[in-house]
Amino acid sequence: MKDFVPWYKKTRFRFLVFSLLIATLPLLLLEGISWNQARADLEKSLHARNVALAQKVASDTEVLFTGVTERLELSGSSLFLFQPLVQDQEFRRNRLQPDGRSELISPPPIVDQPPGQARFGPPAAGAGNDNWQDLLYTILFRVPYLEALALFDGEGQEVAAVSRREVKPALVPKNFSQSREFQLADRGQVAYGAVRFEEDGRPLLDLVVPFLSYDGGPGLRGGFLAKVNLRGLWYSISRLSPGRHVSIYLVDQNGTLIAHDDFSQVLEGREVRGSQAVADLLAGRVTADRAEPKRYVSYQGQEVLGLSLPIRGPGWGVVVEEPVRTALAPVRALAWKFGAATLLVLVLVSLLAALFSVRLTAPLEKLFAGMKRVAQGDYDRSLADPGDDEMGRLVASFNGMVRELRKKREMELTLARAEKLAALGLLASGMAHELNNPLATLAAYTEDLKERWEGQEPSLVQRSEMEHYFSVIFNQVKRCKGITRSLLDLNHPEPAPGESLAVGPLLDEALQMVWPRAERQGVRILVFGVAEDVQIVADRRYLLQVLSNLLNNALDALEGRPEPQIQVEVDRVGEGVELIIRDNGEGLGEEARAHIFEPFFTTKPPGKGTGLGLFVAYQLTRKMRGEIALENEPRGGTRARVWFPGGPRDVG
Amino acid sequence: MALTFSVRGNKILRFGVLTILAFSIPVLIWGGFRSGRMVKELPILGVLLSGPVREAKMAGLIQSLREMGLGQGKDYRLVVKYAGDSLGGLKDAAQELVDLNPRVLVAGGGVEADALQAVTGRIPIVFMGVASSQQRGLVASYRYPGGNVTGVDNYHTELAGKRLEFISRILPGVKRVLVLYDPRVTPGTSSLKVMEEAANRLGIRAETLAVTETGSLPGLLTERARGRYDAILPLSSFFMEALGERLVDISQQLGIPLMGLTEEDARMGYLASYGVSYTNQGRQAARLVYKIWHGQDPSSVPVESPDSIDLVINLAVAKKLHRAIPLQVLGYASRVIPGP
Repeated sequence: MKDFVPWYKKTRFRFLVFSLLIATLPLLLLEGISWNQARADLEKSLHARNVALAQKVASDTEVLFTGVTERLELSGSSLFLFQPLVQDQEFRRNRLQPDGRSELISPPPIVDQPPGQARFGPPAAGAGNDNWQDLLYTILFRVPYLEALALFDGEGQEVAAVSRREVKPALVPKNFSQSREFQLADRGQVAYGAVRFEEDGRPLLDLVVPFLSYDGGPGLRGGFLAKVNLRGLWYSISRLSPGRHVSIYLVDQNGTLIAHDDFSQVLEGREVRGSQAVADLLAGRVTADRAEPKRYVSYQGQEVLGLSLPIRGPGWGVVVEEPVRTALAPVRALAWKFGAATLLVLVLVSLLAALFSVRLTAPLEKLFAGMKRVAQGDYDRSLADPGDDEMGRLVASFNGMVRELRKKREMELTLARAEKLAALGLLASGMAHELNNPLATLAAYTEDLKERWEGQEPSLVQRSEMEHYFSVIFNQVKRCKGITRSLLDLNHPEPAPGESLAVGPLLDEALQMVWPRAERQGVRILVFGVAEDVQIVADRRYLLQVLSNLLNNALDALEGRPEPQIQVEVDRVGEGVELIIRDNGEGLGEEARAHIFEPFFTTKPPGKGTGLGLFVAYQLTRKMRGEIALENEPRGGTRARVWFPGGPRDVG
Repeated sequence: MALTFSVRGNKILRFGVLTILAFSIPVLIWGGFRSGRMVKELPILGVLLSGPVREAKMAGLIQSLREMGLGQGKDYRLVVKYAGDSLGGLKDAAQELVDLNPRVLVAGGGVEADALQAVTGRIPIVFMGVASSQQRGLVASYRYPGGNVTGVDNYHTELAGKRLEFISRILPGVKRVLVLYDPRVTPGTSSLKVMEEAANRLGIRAETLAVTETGSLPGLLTERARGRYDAILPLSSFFMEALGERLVDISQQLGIPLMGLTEEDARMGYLASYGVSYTNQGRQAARLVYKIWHGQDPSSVPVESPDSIDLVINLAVAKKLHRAIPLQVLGYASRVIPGP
């Protein structure tokens, strides 16, 4: 049983990984779907918001110009109605007296024009011009965003002009009638000039509003040249920006930046035509009704979500851009939150999984340790009861098995002790019996020798008599020594760990040990099937002892037999090697087969054998994990079979 | 068995502690962060005023900031320092404000901006209406201020001629105007030049009187003005603002109308005013404060000229001075303060 298990193969690690996968995979899947949906929704809502912003700016700008234009047109119509009055000599300037009364002063003649062909004539000096200025001031202070206002006639000549900041300004250029604005006005169109910036940064735009003939007559009667201060509009645009990262800016017909929520960019004259939204405007790819949000790299080099819309009237365009990085920040924050939630789940699941895996696998670990102890022969300890679940039942079964094994071992020990005692008794009785005969012979001979020595029998001193006595005593002592030596053989230490031995040379050596006796007895020894590569695992000394004993036993059985013969055969059997020694003696009787390996059992005549040879062979074979059997040959004689595990070249 | 129970109990206890820690540590960190934010001090918006007369600017500033989403006590702590209408007190008050390390400093006018600029070149300064801000050296140019100062130029210098024009419209036939100016300040002398050009174009004789101290002013004015001038026109300066009520008294004593710069002048007793009101100067400055508060560099925030220039006429003063006002002018005046 392997003690070391890599960490990645341990059940608790696999349980942990499995738990984490089960817990996090669905979570990650759901988070991924949610995140993707949130991102799509956010982009959609941002686009919708930016479209609304652009529409709001475009609408505000259009409303501003529409409002200013309509008020100026209305004022212009009023001026037409007013002109006959200012031509009337009865017209007087009206002055509010401290007592609340009003007083008419000074006639205000301005120009003389044929009725129905009324045009604003050339500026008149003095009070008449003051009257026009009063009227223009009324318009100037009542129409928001107007910085200055001039009235020009049908020839493009300035009639009067007023300003919030300048004294007696001259607003209409001398060659105004040649300008694009005047040409447009002459065709009855409102004309928008270019946006320019004053020294103090005020954005001003020239707006030309024509007065056409109210009676259907041809030609331009005159008009207003208004200088519109756009800073209020710019400021309201910057107020619309929902955040510092969203850029809202206006470009004119040429793509020149004229307004930006960061006004310093306008003053720096930043080139914005690099933005795709501006390019779309200039190429006429967008209309007021259809704003197409896009993602592109802006003129500032940032990836942005942007769109543009044209503004009716001045022909400008509004652009809204928002850096993708900041626009999608909430989605990134959501990703972080998801990540944190996943991490938290991972931590909690890891803790839970660790706890449960420890709880689940602890009984297994204990079971494993218990099995190792049992394998090492320790049956004395039971495992703690882990509960009443399946694992608990398994541990309980294991504990039951250990208890059974412990009982069995105790029984075996008891039996072994009984067998030992029986064997000891048998051995003792055998020894007593075997030693008793020679000892009795020794006692008889020594008694007789003593009597004869005391009787001084003359024949005793004869050399032959004494020689006989000593010969008998010597033989009996020698026999006793043989018995004790055989017993000593049993007490050899445990065999060395089996070594791989070639059978052929060993067999040769064993045969050489018995060869002189076989030759004396005239026994023919035949050897079969000994291949050079046949090997067995055994202790060399023990194996020689076993073979020697078996061969001597066969020779004993062949004494006095006609045509004595011993056959030695070597066969591979299973994963081992079997040596068979056959003789053509009388064979074994029924009683001999039952007791053949018991100590001191012999079928030889008294005094001939010790009865220990086969007993020793049996014991040594078992010590070498071999098997031994003695049986009769069908055609007479005895067959001894010894089996040993095969060597490396004989296994498999 | 007891041992087994004990071991299992320890594991459950350990798991419980770990779980509580896993939940409580982030909560504690978050809670600590929140509480840290709650006790964190608000950034300071420092305002330096020469005197209470400019409080209307601060009111407009605070109101406009609130409309833009910056609330006092919510987003910033307002610290106001007064100099007691004394130039000497401005330096100390400016230093006290700078020592508080505010996020943005706001100057009530030119002298306050000068004082603040003298003590810090680091903290952004926004002025709420300064005349001739470029000429007096507060900014390098209107478009690119360049330093740590920007704000609203109230255009008082440039509008000096326009005031003369409106005097002639409010009081038709006006021929001689006495112009008061403070020669110690830049707007005083700059306005004088503008005034002279306008007087020439309008055919009005404008005579000037330098005023540098208050003691001899009544006598001086009485001697110079009685019966000789149709109107008195004080030019822009911190000193003239402080003299406001005294000038009104003299105006009424002499029966000569005053033409002021702001709506507050008209309400104080001037016959009329033409310019941007203190409140609107504060409101417009709030836009710049808002930008800088949110991180824009003051050096790249252009100085703004006033968006709204108002003609205000006080009919009560007209009645008191027995002056008739043309209805056409009343028709286009931004505001008419009714008489009694």
